[in-house]
Amino acid sequence: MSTPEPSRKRARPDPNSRLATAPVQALTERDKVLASIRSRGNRGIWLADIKRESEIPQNILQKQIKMLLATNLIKEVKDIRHKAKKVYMLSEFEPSEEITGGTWFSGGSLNTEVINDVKKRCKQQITVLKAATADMIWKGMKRSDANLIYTLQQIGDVLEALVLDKEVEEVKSTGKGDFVNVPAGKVCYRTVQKSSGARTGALASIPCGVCPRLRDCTPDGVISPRNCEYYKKWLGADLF
Amino acid sequence: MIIYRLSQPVLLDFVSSLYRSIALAVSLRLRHRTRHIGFFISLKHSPLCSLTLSVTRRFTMVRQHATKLAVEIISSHSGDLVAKVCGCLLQHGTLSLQEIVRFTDMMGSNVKNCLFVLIQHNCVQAFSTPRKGSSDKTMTQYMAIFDNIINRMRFSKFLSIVKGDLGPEAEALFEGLLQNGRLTFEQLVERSISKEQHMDQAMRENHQSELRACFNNLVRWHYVEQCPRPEPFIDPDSEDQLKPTKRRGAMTVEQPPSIEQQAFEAATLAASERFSEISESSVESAEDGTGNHSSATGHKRKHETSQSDLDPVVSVTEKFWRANFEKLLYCLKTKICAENVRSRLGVDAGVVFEAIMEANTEQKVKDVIVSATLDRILDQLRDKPAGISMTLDHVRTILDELHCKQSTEKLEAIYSLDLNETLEACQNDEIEALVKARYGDQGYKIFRLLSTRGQLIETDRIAEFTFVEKKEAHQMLYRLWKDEYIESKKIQSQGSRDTANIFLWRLDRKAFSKTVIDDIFHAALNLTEKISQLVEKQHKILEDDMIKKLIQKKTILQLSLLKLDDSLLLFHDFSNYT
Ligand code: SF4
Repeated sequence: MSTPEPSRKRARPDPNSRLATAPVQALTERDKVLASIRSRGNRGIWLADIKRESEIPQNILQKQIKMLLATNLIKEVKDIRHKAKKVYMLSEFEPSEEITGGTWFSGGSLNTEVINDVKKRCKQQITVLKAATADMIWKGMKRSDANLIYTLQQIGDVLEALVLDKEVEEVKSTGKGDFVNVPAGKVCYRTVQKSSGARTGALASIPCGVCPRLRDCTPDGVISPRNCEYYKKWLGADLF
Repeated sequence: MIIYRLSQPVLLDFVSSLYRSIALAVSLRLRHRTRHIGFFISLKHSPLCSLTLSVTRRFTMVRQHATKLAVEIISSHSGDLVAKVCGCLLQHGTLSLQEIVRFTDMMGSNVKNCLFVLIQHNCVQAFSTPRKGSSDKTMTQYMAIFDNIINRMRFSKFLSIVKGDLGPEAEALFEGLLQNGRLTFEQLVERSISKEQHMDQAMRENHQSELRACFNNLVRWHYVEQCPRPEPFIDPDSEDQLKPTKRRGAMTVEQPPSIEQQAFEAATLAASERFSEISESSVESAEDGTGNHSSATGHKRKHETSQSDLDPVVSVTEKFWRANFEKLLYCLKTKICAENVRSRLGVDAGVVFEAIMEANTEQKVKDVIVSATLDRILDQLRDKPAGISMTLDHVRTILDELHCKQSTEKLEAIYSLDLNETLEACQNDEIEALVKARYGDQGYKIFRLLSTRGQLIETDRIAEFTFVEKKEAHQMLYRLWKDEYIESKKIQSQGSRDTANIFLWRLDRKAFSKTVIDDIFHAALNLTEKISQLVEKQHKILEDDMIKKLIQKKTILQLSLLKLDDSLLLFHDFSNYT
C-alpha cells in the first residue's frame, strides 16, 4: 500500500507543546509515526505495522506513541476483529464500522442493551400490526420515533435475529386473516404461535440428555447409571 | 430396518490395527459371500485418517448402545439366557445354531429353547441356505430383527391405538397377541374363554362368533397380520439373487440385496394372504383337524415353528397371527405428526392431516410422501366429529396450507403430501429443546442458524447473524463440533502478508441425526438400567412408605422412557437416517 507524503504542516512543532523543546531527531520520528497513522485514515493502524513502515526501534516507537497520545494528536481504538491488538488513528477521525463493528457495538463489545431495546421495539410493532414485512415494521418504528437512526437493513438484521431466538417467525402471507395488510406471497413476520400441542424435548427433560458425561457413561463403567449423581439429584438420593 | 451383519468391536479392532499402514484396500470376506463387508480405507497419516477412524468409532458406538438396549429389553421380558442368545445374534449377525452354541458357550438344547422364545415373539427370523459342499442339504440360519425388539417398549402405545379405534374387546384380543407373540385364532379364543369360567356351551359359541367378528376387524384394519413363512429357503448363489439391479435412467448400480433382505422378502406373505379374514367354516375345520386345544394358551407356546433345528410339533398349515408393527408405527407417525401440525397450523389442519394419512393406501412407516384422492380424504373427514362439518373450500385451503401438491389421475384429484416438513418440525422441537438445555441461548441461536441455512457459514458471519461476540461464537461452535452436532471446515485465506485460517461450519442433518439417535439409544439404555435398579430395590425394602415412593419414582422413569421413545420413533423409525 502506498504511503502518502506526510503533511509538512502538521509535522511542524507546535510552539505550545511540550514537544516543542524535543530534539530534531525525535521530531522526525514523530513525523514518521504520524504519517503512518494518518495514512490509514479511519481504519487505524496496528503498532506492528507502524514499526514496519517507519523502521523505528520498538522502544523509541513506544515512547513516541505515548507522547502523541498524551498530546491528544492520536487515539487508541478497539478493533472488534482483533481485540488483543492495539490500533491507533488520528484523534479527529471517527473509527470506521469495520473497526467498531457498527451500530451494535460500543467500546469494542456488543451493545446488548441497545440490541435488546431495538428487538423490543420490533416486537411491539409486530404485535400491533399482527403480521408485517420488514419495511412495514421499519416505517412503523419511524412513525413512533422521528429520530430513528437505524436503517431498514439494520432492522431486517434484528428481525432475522428474533427469528433465530424463536420470538417471531418468518412466514409467507396468505393475504387473509392476520395477513390482510400484507400482499399474499410476501415474506413477513409475526409472533410465534405458541400452542400446547408442541412437543417438549424428551432428551432435554432427563439428566442424560444434558449430561456432560454422556459419552463416557456405560452400564459397567466408572461413570454409570447405577451410581449416577445426576439421577440422585433428580429423583432423590434415598432410593439409590 | 437394522440387520446386524458383523461384530462391531471386531471391525473396530481390525481398523485400528491397520491405522499405521499406508493406502490400503481391504476387502473382508466373512464366512459367507452374502455376509461380505467390503470397504476401502486410505490410511495415510492425514486428517482424513483420523476422520475415517472417528466415523468408524462413532458407528460402532451407535450400534453398541442400540444393541445393549435391545438386550436389556429382552432380558427384562424373557430372562437372561434368551437375552444372551439375542445379544449374540445382534453382535455377530446372522448365525447357525452351532455357531450360536459356540459363541455363547451354552448347551444346544438351551440355545434351541431361547430361539423358540425369540421366534415366538417375532424377534428372530429363521431361513435356510444350501449347506456348503452339498447341493441337497440345507442349513438353518437365524437373524435378529432389531426393530421388532425395540417395538416391545411400545406395547402400551399400540394397545391404546387399537382401543381408540376398535374398542376394549379388540384391545383385549390384541393384547393376547402382544403377550404371546404369535397365536392361532383358536388359541386366542381359548385364551378368552378360559377367563370366563361361567359360560355354558351356547354362550361360548356366541362368544366365539363375537370374537371372530372382532378379530376380523383387527385384520381388516391391518392391526393384525398372518405371520410370515417360518423358514424360507434362500440360495444366495443363484443368478437372480446376485444380480445387481440398475434402475432405468439411474447412474448408479444398486447393490444386490443382502441375504437378510432376501430372507425377509421370501418370508413375507402376499398382502391378500397376510390380511385374509377368517370365516366360520375355516375355524371349525381347524378345530376339527386339531381335536382339542386344551393346552393353556395364555402361556407362551414354542412349538409352531418348523425349523429343521427346532423340531416341528404343529403342522405348518395352521395360521398364526401376530401384531402388524408396520401399521401400528404408521398410526403413531400419524398421531405424532398431526399433533405438530395442530400446534403450528390449528386444529382443523390437524384433522385434515390425519384424514390424508388415513386415506393413503400404501401405509408404510418410512414413506415420506403420502397421497390420496380428494374423495377418499373427504370420506375420512366425514368419519371424524371435527371433520364432518368442514366445507370443501375450507378443506382445499388447508390442503394448500399443508403444501399438498395436486395432480389429476383418471379424472380424479389426487393430493400428495411431503411429510419431511412436518417430520423436521417435530425433530426440531426435540433437538432445539436439547440444544437450549445443553448449550444455553447462544448455542440455541447458532444451532438454529446453521439448521435453517444448511450451508457452510464462516465464524464471523455466524457471530453477526446471531448477535453473539465473535470469540464466544467460536467457542460455542467448537463445543457443538466436539459433540458431533456440526461439521467444520478449515480454509486458508491468502492475505497480502500472511495467511489466516478461516473456519466454516455446517449442520449436516443426516450426520447430526445419527448423533442424536445414538444419544437417544444411550439415554434410553440408561433409563432402563435405572428402572431395573429400582425393581431390584423394590424386592428388598419393606417399609410401605418407601415402596410407595419407589413406585412413584419408577413411574417417572417409565413415563420418561415412553416420551423418549417418541423421539426415537421420530429419528429412527419414521425417517431414513439409519
Ligand atoms: S446416567 Fe448419569 S452419568 Fe450417565 S449419562 Fe446419564 S446423567 Fe450422565
